[in-house]
Amino acid sequence: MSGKRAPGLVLAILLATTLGACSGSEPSAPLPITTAAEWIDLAGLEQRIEAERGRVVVVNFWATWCEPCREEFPDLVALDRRYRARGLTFLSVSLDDPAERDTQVKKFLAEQKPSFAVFVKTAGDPDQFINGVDPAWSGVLPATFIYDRQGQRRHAIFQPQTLAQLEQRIQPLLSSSQ
Amino acid sequence: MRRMGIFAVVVVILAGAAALGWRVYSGPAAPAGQVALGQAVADFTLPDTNGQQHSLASLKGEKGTLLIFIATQCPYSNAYNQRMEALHRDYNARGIRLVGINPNKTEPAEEVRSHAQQNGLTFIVLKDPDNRIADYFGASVTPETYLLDAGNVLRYHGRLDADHKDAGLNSGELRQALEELLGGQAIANTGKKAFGCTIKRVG
Repeated sequence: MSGKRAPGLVLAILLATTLGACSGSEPSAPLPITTAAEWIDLAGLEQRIEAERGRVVVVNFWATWCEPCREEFPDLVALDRRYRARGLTFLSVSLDDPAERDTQVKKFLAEQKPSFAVFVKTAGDPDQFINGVDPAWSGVLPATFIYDRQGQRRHAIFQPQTLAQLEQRIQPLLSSSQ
Repeated sequence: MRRMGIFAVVVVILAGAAALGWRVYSGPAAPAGQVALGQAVADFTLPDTNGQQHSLASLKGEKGTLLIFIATQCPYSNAYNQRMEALHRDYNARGIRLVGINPNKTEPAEEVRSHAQQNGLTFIVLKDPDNRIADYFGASVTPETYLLDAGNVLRYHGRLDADHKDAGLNSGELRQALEELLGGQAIANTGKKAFGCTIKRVG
């Protein structure tokens, strides 16, 4: 590709992205990524999932003190890298203690270098948050919820997953009608 | 004939040994299915950290029994060590027996024993080596509590209180249930979801 054409391509991508996000045409573009471990509450999470309508959304709840979560994390990073361009949005929500966001959480993220959005749940009653996400969820970590392009929850998984297991779940959703 | 007689004796001895071995090494007897609030908990047997077997029937308190699934390495469970010990101190004399159960495959009995000693836990801690009792109760995390009444009916299931970092909460939600149970009242809050470290199950 010539250097002259690149700016035009960038502009075209930017335009398509903006139009896609505004018009809701499919597949929509992912929202900007943040690994800054921003705060999120239940309402914020629901809005975020809603905003990704048109894409397959995987929401993973974890904590740095949860060993199975730490073990699972590299597979999640790989999943995001492999499928984002094909319509997958990965949202990561840490249920660490808010006081540990700037220490444990950010340290772990610096090691793992995820390219997906990472949030930390704001302080507050975990029972309300857990029930708000899914009354069937005991609060066990890790927990992973998968939404189809229409925003319908299709999977609620309460144990660590491998990349292959997650691929098996998301591939049919990614290839379903957009 | 004599040879057959010896053979029969050997078979009987081996069968007896196998039966004894099975009883000793087959792990705790566990009820089938899963218990729910309002249901009577079936009796079960688990070893303590010295390997001695205890049945629920032999441990139960006169007024009730408080089972808490705990861990040695989980920061959430450890945050509650002193609150659990305070529950034991405050309610044992009032007829409620606190029984700790460690269901984590990653935490052997010796570690559970030394953890209890180092943290001043004076209530009995049992080991659930196959998580069969955690499965029966549907326990997911540590710490997670189950309060049984005098008839071993499950009356409360969930957390001790809302914040592991706030020792001042002093297991308030669970204490309220304990007071209601001891007062012969209906338990208003039968337990909010326990939050903590996932139980490390076998397999």
